[in-house]
Amino acid sequence: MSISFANGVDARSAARGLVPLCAGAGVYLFFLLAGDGLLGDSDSFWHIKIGQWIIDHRAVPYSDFYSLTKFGESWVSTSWLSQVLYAAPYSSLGWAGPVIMASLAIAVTAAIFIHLLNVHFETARSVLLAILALVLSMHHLLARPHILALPVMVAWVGALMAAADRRTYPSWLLLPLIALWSNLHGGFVLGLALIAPIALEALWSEEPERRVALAARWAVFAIGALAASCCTPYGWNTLFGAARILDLGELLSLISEWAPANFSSFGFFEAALLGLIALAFSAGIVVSLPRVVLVLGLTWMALTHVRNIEAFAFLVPLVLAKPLAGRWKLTQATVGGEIRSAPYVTVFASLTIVAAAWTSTSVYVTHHHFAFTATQTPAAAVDLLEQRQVERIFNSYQFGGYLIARDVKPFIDGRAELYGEKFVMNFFHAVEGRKVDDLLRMLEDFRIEATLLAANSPAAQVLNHVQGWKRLYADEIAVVHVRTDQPLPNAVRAPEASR
Amino acid sequence: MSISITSNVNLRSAPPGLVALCAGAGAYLFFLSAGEILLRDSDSLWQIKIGQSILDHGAMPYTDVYSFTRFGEPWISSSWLSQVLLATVHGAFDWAGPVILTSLAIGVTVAIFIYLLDPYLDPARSILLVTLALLMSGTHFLARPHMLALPVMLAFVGGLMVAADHRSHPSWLLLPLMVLWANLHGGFVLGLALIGPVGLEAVWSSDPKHRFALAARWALFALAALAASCCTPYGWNTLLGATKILSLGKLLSLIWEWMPADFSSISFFEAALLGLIGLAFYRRLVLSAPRIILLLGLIWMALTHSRNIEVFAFLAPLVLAKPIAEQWRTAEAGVRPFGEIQPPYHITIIAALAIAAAGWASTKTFVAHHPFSFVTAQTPVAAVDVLEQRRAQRIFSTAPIGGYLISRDIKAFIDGRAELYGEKFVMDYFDAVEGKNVETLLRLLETYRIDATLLNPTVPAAKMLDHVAGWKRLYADKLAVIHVREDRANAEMLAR
Repeated sequence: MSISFANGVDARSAARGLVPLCAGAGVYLFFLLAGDGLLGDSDSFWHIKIGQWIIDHRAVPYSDFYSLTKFGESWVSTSWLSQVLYAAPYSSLGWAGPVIMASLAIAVTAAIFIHLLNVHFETARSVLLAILALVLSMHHLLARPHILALPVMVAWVGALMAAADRRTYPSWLLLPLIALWSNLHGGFVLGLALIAPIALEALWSEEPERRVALAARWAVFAIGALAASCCTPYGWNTLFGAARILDLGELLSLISEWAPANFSSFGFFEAALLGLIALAFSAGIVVSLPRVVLVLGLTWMALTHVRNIEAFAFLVPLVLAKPLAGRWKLTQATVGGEIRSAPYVTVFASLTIVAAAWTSTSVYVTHHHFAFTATQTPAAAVDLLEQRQVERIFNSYQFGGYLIARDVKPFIDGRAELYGEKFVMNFFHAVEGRKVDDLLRMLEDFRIEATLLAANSPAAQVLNHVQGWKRLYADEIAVVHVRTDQPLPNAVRAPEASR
Repeated sequence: MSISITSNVNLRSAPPGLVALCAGAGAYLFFLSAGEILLRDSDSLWQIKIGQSILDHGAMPYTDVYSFTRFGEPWISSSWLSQVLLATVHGAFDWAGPVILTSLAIGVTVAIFIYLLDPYLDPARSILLVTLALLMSGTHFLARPHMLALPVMLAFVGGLMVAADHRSHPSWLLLPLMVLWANLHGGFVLGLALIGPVGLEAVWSSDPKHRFALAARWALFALAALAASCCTPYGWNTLLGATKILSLGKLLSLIWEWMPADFSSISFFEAALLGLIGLAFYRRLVLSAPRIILLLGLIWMALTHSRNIEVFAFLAPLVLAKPIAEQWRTAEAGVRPFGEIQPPYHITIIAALAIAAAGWASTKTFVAHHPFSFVTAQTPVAAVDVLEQRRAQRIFSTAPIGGYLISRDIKAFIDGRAELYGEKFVMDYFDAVEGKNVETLLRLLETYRIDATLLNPTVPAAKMLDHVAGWKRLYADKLAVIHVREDRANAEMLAR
């Protein structure tokens, strides 16, 4: 429906908003159909659980109440609004709710991205760049808070860049956007950090006598943005909470999404990086120094942490759009005197697209059952542990979210900033079989009754050979080990009794 | 000494060779004085052992004799000439020999690099570039065959690029270089592979009328180079052997020098990569399509395998030099004004001799009072003494320690020759040693009837064996831990 509409209207005379809307609808439907791919990370479980708690209690959490090891320690939820936005549709629609939510966010991102690029490029190039950006960030498109923050990021940076392109200062209307961002996800720190280099770009190309005035406006805007980002239930603690996760140091290289870019096999990111270099050397474009700094900064971020590849994918095109357009003379498409559709036709067309998307969604969701990825949901093993009334469980990192969803306290889950660098590092070394002594000491120190480990995890194999532990259950997802010396019926009280 | 000579001579009137020579001498002396950083990899130990055996027997190895797991299986030494050179100098000067030889190779590389860049860049920029290249590839500077091949690589590829820059065909004098390279190190395959794109650049930029003739000359050269690369004791088996290591697949991502480039913390390579992107966008520089392909190919190689960073560091500047000189007019600074006084020829030769003499004198004094020693982490002397006393024959060890065992005339379980052991065996070994798979560890210990294990204390497998039934810790110091079978120890005690 949406596609036939796009073809029917002459793209040149189409009202500007219609192409992004069509592309957005296409992206939305694609991700809805491939919805199971969004449900690949067990962090979604605890995000929804916390969102549910916030809805139920009308309050935000200030301490942890889900974990076995850090129970009661102070912890703030920097993405509380996203959690609520996921939890609300989850309770009424099941997993279809978060999938629709995330797909919608990705679609809005694509639409905003194309809308921003349309100023500089013809539609085909904008759409191609949007597809490239989506393909690059595919590995990180998951039903989690950062996806809901993605459209806000693109809108924010796009608006700042537009202001810099016009050598002016950004509109005050952007401030609610950063406030929204800081409630949605901790990544808003990037938005604050990017104000300075983009301001520099605005000043760079400005005439010298106006520079001071412009710099002052940008400085006031930066302070306003900083203040706006503190408009959360936690106030300025949000800022500290978000900064805290960046302090995790060495640990970040062990968590897969914080790992540095890996080039062992040829991937889309490598292709994009090489393509960027080839573009620079073949087109002969010249870019101002602040833009070069922005491109290098974004590239450096993506090289250091793979999760930043999405920022690279969506923001580098925005930074380079104007110089590229200037070089290629791409904006000649808008000729004066062209025939434009009447506004009511555009509005009607938009409504049709929305209606079509809504119909497709409701039809698809009724007959398709979204399922969470099986490798992170050890249902049978947890059933067994519940039967045995085991309370102190040592679990693999990726099972933490599922345990929270089942109201079982996990040893560890995806909230690395709660557990702290040292604890998580020790945990990873223990589970990866690097330090058997640490593994056994952890099991003793925390009086663990049972372990719930991924089937291929080295620690699970080690426990097969360590005295005092025996394998109780195994399937292709998870392995359960329990202590051998424990009397079977009252497994719960045995450790307490022995102390 | 060399530094004072450089500053006394006015750079403008210096002949190009002299600046290169000075820089080379400086690099040589630096790496000589920091010689220990070249002795960090126990591969040097078995390389020297093989070179020694070639010298003793006057014959090439065709089968493995240094391991008990692959004993007698076909294996050829694609870097036999380097091994003989390293063994000769090691025999004569102990560890000072390999250090001097490797430092000399680095010095020659630096000199060739600056000489090649001289027509396009002023000496200051060349020296900056060479410093950056040395910093980037410093982690891979080890007293091993690839270092001896480095100057040959640069001279060969540099010769090709000079031909492309002049839109002509490469000199036939490059063919002996290819022969030398093929005998020094398996990396000569890169030289063969680069003839294609460099030839394309020459043909691309040449006059359309001459294109066909030029392409034919390049094709002929490529065939001759291929033939030249087979002039080794092994004939064309060298070529097959060299490509064998590239087919190790997934395994390559586990051996540190074959791992993809690591960006977890900022490195000189990352800085160079970002710098290159920044440069490309900041100043207008348009490259021809073949040059872009060459540049992207070098970057891709460096991203995929960190050992190729040195290739990127030394070859990328050669690809970029001519366009930079033409488009940014940096060469004008280097163009000598008319009527400038060039020093007489004999003065230049005497200056060069003085630099060489100074380098030689510095080497002699330094080596006389400085004993070079190999890195201790890979040479667990005391632990191997214990194993020798117990007459342990079948020792399970990590690959680095394997290199040391070979030098002690003990057959190794595994060493640095991954292409001999094969992908599956080495993958299993990594799984076992890194603690990824206990079952594999126990299976390897059984299958190969291991008497004792010799592992570094930080290795996960060493910690595991403390907890596995049937094995007990016999000996431990800071460098290594020995585990032996429990039942065997009991049997021995009963026998006494």
